[in-house]
Amino acid sequence: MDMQVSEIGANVTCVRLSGRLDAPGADTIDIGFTAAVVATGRDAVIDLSGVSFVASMGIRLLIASARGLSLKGANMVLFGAQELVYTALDQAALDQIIPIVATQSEAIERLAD
Amino acid sequence: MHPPDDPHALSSDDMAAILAVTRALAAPFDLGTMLAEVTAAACRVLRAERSSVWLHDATSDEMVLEVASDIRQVRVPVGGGLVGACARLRALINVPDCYADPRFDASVDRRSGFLTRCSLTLPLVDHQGSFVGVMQVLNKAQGVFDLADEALAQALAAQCAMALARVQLTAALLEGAKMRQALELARVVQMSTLPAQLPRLAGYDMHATFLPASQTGGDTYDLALTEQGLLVVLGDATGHGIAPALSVTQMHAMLRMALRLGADLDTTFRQVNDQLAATLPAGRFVTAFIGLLDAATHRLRFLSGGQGPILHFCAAQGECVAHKATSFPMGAMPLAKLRPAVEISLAPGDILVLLTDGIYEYEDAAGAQFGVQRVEQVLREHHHRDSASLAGCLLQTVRAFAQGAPQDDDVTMVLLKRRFDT
Repeated sequence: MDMQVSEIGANVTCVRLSGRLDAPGADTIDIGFTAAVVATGRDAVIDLSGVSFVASMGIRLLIASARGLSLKGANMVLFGAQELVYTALDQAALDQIIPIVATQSEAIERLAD
Repeated sequence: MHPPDDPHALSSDDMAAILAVTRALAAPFDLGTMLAEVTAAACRVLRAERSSVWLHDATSDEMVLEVASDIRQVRVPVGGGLVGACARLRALINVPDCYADPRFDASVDRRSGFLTRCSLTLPLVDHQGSFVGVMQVLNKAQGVFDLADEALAQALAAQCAMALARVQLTAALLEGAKMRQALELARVVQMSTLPAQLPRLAGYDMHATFLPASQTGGDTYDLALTEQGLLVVLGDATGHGIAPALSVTQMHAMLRMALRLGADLDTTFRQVNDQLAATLPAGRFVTAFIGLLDAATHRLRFLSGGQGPILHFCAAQGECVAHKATSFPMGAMPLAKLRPAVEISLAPGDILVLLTDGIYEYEDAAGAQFGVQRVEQVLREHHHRDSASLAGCLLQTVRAFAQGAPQDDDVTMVLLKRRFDT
């Protein structure tokens, strides 16, 4: 599981994830992801296009981060999920906590809503 | 003391001293006691004023001073000072005049107020050849350390390294034992939430299977008759260990209490979610299906916090309808708006199939997952069986698929089947 962090403009963090977001994958990026997303307290968009699979521990990481951001008054949006990943997130009704959109531009627009 | 023609040989007195140290080092099982024995023995045997043991911190690649009488927690990088140089060279360094040696780091002297004249610094290498630390003895009582002292120190260092390896192994085993105790406690807590026996309900056949993984997860289920109907619950708390077991216990207790107090499904779900959101630590939540079956009308209403897919096998069509969760996992955050409960009708032969992700995410050796489609395939082929037999069939298929791959997560199944003859 890999992650790359970049900035979009002055106020948005973009994290691109790649690999399997299962228990070992979530373990691998847990601290780095939380530091990059939650610690900054800035809005974040998460690129899931490189994620081939997501399991419950991966969903846990996303929820925990979204919740942490929410407590700091910031938001998180997911985008680019492949079908298998989207289905797993949809089955868990994750979209009720974290918006899930198709593209990065949609994700940034969603942050502005 | 030593034969003049062989400066490396040990005299009988020296040998006795070393064996005394060996005996002393065989007893202690904690690091502090063992290192205190080693440093005291080194001073005694080598007639030195002071000795210390530095352990290798592989994470930072530093040497950490573990035992010394006057200062604590000194760290030097591998390569720095005589200790660091010994760690790098993995060889004995005998320095008769430390302040004349450019490798000597006088900062430790400045911190402790001690004046080092001469030193003998040795690597500690255990019986498997792994470098574990450095032993250093300072200031021979008379003169400087000679070849005979080097031989004695090397014998002592070998004993020290073996004792150190044993203590570290013991510490790891004790830690493992503590972990096993915690897991056993978690298992007891988890099992206490499960119904002792399943209720009997006319026209229905029900079965539940709970197969814990080696590490406790947080699965739970419930099948219980309440005033509002048959309560059907399947839950899975995130994580492993005692915490998720306690999370599902909390959820279970709140669910039963709310229903006992006459709350309806929607109120119960919202209240339990919001209570969990207020009490669970960040990052912990419970995926849970909560349903109530009216056995008179055969209608099942359910809400599901993050637990999906929920499979309804429709006997007439011979196919499954998969429902997704109605809301996010319980306890993730308070519910701002509750989506309406889903209502399904169970026709004769229909089966409600609730499975935790231990089934769907069961992986074979190559990392492929069992998945939803294989579950549906089993249901299509074996739906005529009673629920216990069907659950067994499902489990057998999962195991055949896994081909011996270990079970990484709890496996929990709840099957509720309406009999054909009702």
